[in-house]
Amino acid sequence: MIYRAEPYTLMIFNADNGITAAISGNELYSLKEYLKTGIQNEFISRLINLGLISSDMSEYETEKLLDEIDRTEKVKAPLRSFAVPESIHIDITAVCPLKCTQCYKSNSQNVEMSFEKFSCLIEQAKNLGVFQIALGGGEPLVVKGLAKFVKKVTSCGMACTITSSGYGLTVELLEQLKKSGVNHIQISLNGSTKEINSRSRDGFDEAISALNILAESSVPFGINWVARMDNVYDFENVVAYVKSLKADNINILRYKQSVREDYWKNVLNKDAFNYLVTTIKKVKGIKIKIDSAFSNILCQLYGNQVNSVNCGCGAGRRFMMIDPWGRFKPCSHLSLVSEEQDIQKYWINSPDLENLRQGEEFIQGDCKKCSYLMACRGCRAICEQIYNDINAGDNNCPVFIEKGRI
Amino acid sequence: MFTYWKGYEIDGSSTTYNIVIPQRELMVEVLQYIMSLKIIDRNENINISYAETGDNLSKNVVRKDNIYKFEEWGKILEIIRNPSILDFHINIYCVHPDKLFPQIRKEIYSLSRTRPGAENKAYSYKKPTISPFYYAPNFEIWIDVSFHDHKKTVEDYKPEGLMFNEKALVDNLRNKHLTIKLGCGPGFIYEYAAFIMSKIAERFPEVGIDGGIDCAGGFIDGCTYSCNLYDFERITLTTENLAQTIIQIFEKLEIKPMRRVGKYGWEHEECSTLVLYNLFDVDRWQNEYIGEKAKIIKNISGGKQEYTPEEYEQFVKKISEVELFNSIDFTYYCTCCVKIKDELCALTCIKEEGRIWLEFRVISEIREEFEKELISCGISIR
Repeated sequence: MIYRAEPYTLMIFNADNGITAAISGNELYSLKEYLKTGIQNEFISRLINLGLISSDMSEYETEKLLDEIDRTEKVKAPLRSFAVPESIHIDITAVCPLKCTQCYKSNSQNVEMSFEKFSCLIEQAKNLGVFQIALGGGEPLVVKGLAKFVKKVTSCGMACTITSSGYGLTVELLEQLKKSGVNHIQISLNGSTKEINSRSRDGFDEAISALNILAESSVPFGINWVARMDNVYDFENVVAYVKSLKADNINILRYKQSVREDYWKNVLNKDAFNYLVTTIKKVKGIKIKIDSAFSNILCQLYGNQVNSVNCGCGAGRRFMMIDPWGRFKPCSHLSLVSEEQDIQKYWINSPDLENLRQGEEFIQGDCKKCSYLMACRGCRAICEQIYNDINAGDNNCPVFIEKGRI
Repeated sequence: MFTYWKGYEIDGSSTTYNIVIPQRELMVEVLQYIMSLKIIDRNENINISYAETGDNLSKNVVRKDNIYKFEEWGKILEIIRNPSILDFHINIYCVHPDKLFPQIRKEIYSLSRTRPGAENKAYSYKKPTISPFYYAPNFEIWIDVSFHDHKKTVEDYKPEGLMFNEKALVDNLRNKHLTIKLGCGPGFIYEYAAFIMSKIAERFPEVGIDGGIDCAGGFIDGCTYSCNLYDFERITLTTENLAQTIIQIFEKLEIKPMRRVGKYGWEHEECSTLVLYNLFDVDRWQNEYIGEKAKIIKNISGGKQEYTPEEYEQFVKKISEVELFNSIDFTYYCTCCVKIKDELCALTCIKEEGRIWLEFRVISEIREEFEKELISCGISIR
């Protein structure tokens, strides 16, 4: 369990079940009383049931938690952000044996993060109270000693996930990762058949092989599916396939500009977008997740029920990214790079992050006029790629509704 | 405040959200909690009625109704999680007060102290119970949720009734989050409503609760029909010879059988035989409108309402063998009205510990004296 002070709020994360919680006000007082007196009310029972506190905490743990609660009155956080990142994405390698046409990265480069560098970053994250580390690449499974990287994270109490094409996953490697405490593995798959998948991705056979291995294991897994014009009408087939594997989730990603493709040819048009939303509504029996660049899907589905807490891009607000060279970025897709080596200093002082945090005031175009601006804000990376301006409007959005019309 | 979300972060896709947004997950958690409360009757089916948008993004709305067994509750949660659901209505039932687990029963009865204008005498009751007469109890509650009704705002909001987590209530209205409406009929029990709401409020501090008001302008307490946990006190006799004991009591004590008169049976008059109170108009029950249980009792009684003690004993034994009747149904159908010391009371039977017990339900004021009289004429009390 990780407990962390945010301004007037205690954050709790349980790496075993992936639950993150924020407690403030009377409820925080109630928790404090429980820690001091041991008197358990219904709310405390709920926290115990959710795995957010233990019913048999040691005296040391109790004291530590009480100190952290006291610290909530002193700690400060940047605008619209957590005091420290909730999670950090780390690309531990730029190497990838596949040649996917949709890849948003330039050609594979022979760069890998050293374990020493990685360890140093993880120690920083641990000391700050970061909850989750999401490993990616490149292809992380080709990194030698990957299990050691995972172990480093989990031994610090944080959750560790891996996003992969599936290339190189064997039963033996999965067993090593499992022993290292990996919490979740996500495999990229863009089609239910090799033909559909190969329109945008390489390595269909490797992905299927990896999924079959995962399906036989107890390691939670899901798939990343990028919604494109050439696969959107295959979505239901992908859902059926993934359900048959008893995967935990399907994560729907928005298509980002690729160096090898014509963006406008592959991005969903309005009809395809609406088809996807309609199909999502019909899915039962598997969890659907949404890339935050696709926040407009949540707006379409839920209207006013979404807000800045449960919707919108969290780059620079909830998470940050570190590339294989060890450079800090707001997210994998933005080009904004910092040479800062101290996570806390970057999080507090970076002008790039500051700019993103002021999106509600700075963003232009359709987003500025849209009713969903405060909840959504579009995808800043796509706007940077298309308009060379991270504050440009995410125009041509199928969900755009002028302010005052809802 | 308290909020939480579940899920692992996935690299490269920025942070990700579950398609089921936290408010819906919270509502599912609240509903799961309500269903787990020990006052909810797990033997009753759950009805759900819901509206969902059609297969396209137009405004077409399809309304559906389903009935599920309690153990199929998970299917209802799956329906609620679906983003296409616009609203839903669920009916569930509470356990009869006499069937509550002892610890829960104690907790429920202790809530009487929170009742506006509560009867102080309630706390000296020995074995309180609700009225077994047909017009008294209603154990149904319904849950209404609308995901698209955002008409209510803080500006036009006026608190009503019993309030819990008021700050959360206002915050939720301000942010146009959803509201969960818990409803109950006029014959519901105040303590049950208070129990459910206080439990939810304590467990879910982020959920604001407005108890609302009843037709009399109060929180259930004012309603003519609200069910009173203290209508009667139970005096259970140990005898296994029902007919003989009834004859003995009627001969020796000041007690008269009563029957209902008038079009609706609101008035009473003395009579010479026992009359099954809740079968007052059984001969007028129309088969096409009554449920399975009522059909069975109608067939058993054959429209007969008046019984000698011997016939009554036979009737009681006969219906005790009907598997479809639970212990509450059994008592309900066995109930006769009697006048004891000028007060309308009940003579009935209960099924407990594998046998039938004869039981009086008398008002509190005469309980002690009547008990003494029973003992003085050789009747043994449980």
